[in-house]
Amino acid sequence: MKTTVAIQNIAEFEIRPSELMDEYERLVQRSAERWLPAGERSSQRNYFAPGVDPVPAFSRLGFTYVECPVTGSLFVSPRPSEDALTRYFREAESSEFWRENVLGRTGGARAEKVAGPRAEWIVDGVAESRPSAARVIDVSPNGAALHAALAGAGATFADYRVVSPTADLDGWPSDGALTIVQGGIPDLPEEAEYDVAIALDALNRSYDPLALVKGLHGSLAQGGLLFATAAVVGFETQALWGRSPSCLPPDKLNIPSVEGLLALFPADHWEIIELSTPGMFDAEIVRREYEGRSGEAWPRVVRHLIGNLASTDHGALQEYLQKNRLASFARLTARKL
Amino acid sequence: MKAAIVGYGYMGEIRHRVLRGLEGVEVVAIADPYIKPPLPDGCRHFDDWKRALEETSPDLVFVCTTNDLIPEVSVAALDAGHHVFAEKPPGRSLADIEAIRDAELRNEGTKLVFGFNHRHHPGITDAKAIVDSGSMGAILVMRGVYGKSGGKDFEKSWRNDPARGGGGILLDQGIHMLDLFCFFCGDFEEVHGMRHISHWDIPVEDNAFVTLRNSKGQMAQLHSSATSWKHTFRLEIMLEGGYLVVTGLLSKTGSYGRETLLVGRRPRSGESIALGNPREELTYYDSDPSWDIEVSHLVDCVRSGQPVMVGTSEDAVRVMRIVDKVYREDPLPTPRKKDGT
Repeated sequence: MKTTVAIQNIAEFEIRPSELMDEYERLVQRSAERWLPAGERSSQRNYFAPGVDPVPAFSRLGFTYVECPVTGSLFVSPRPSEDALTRYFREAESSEFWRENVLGRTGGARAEKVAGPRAEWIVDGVAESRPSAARVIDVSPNGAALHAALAGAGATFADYRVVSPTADLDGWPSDGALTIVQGGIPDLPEEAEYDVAIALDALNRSYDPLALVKGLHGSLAQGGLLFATAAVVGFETQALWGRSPSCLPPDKLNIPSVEGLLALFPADHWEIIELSTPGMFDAEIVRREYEGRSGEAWPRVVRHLIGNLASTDHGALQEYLQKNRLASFARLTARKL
Repeated sequence: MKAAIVGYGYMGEIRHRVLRGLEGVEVVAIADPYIKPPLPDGCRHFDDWKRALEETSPDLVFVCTTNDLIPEVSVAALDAGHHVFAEKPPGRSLADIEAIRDAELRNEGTKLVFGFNHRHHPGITDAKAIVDSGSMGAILVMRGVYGKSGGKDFEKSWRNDPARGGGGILLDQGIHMLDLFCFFCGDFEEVHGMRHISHWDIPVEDNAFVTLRNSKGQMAQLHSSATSWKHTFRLEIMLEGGYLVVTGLLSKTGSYGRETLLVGRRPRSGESIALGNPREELTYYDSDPSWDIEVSHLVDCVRSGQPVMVGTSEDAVRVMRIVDKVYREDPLPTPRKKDGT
């Protein structure tokens, strides 16, 4: 299993400007009260260590996160129904704000510094492990930017099927190879003919991540590749816990640890080709939070590490975190056995 | 399928370990006068490799001997109808590999693989896939550094005995990098080289530089060294759309450092990335399947009847032509005396 470290000149504000994120959080809280009322949520099973009861972790924006005591993964429980979540992601004011304002105003930076590198990762991975790939299924939310970046990276696929609850809202181009399906896991094709499955940020948002992985396994041909990304429990999450900007419900219903992510891919069904945490922002975010609240009681190790970090040098620490799979964003390439 | 291993030093043991893991393959004989039984897995031991082949009639013969014996054993094994896996270098000279290749050609149906395992290292295979995908355009130039530190008893090693080894560090280790140059760029028509005994008290080169150019204008440069006090492997591939750098090699001792592949892409027009400081991705590898792949390749070819595709005698001839040209262009230097004269 290989691990990749990404070295890139990027700052968090380029893709998540603070003024937009503050407003987004305010809208999430308000929208959730309307669309996902607390009284209509139910307890969730532990996907990362089935049968093991989770323990309380923290609350964020009116949602309760619990922790898997085996893998250290976090997930929202109780959580709204799948139907309620679909309605929320399609119609809530906060979801619309995300599409129109956050994605809209950061589109250029995201295309260059997020979608572009992700497309290159997929193109290289396909070249390395399944160069004849022609059929793709994509379950990523907001996947149109990646599709454009794939085209920019020279990828051509004869059949590109998109399955997502919000697929019709994502601004896809007209393309003969594209099939857009507004739907969920039951709508995944079962004929096991796809060469590539793409699930960028989908595991975080999925009501049932285990069922999603199983569904994608069913769609893939033997030897087919799955490319997945997810926010994971890393340095930023550990240091900031309930204040971590990565723990943003309901978009981040599931935040697996690296071990928890692996637990979704049983070894008798999948070969893990790559598992990396090429997250870029752990050191920057923790430092910003630390400086903003330096008078508070921080763990001594955070105070020592972050307090002594040169003001502009996040890179070396971030590189160390990536190299050791400790950053808060993961990517995974798996091959169906 | 029965296999015999001729020569049971470092490489012989590696081949035995790999063969042990292959279903349907049994090592029936190990020939090496310098080891004594009992041998692992109850294999029969022979001092004489000819007797080993006659008495056990193996399907596969692994030639893991010193360089001087590689042609003799390989040719005899092929003439007797055995399939052969031979270590690199493929003999001591161009004449040696040409003799082996002649034996292969006159024994139609036999398979012959040479152990250019670096082609199967994960950093190299990923780099090759990226190059072959065309996503970064054509290769412009390549640069390789492959060096070791010599070390204890280096001066006494058979590898530095011209009669047994045939050459110095270029033939022993640099040949891998030359093979990689050819793997990525094909034939090189222009070959220039220099070699020297820079430090060690040995009669063969401990440093060599080779520059190559092919008909497409692609150039490559190798520094092969036995005075790299830190073991070094570094292959840089500059392409139209970026660069790839393979550094380190997964090995038993880990002395070449962790194997990595650095991928840097030239910014596209309109991107905000500062000129000369593109985004890079560095991939770390944690397993080396190269030994398994090349041995499995021979076994698969024998079972399926398919031709050998990697580590062919043609690959071996191509790379030995380069070494031969360098050796002829810059004859064996006078050994450096201890007083520096």
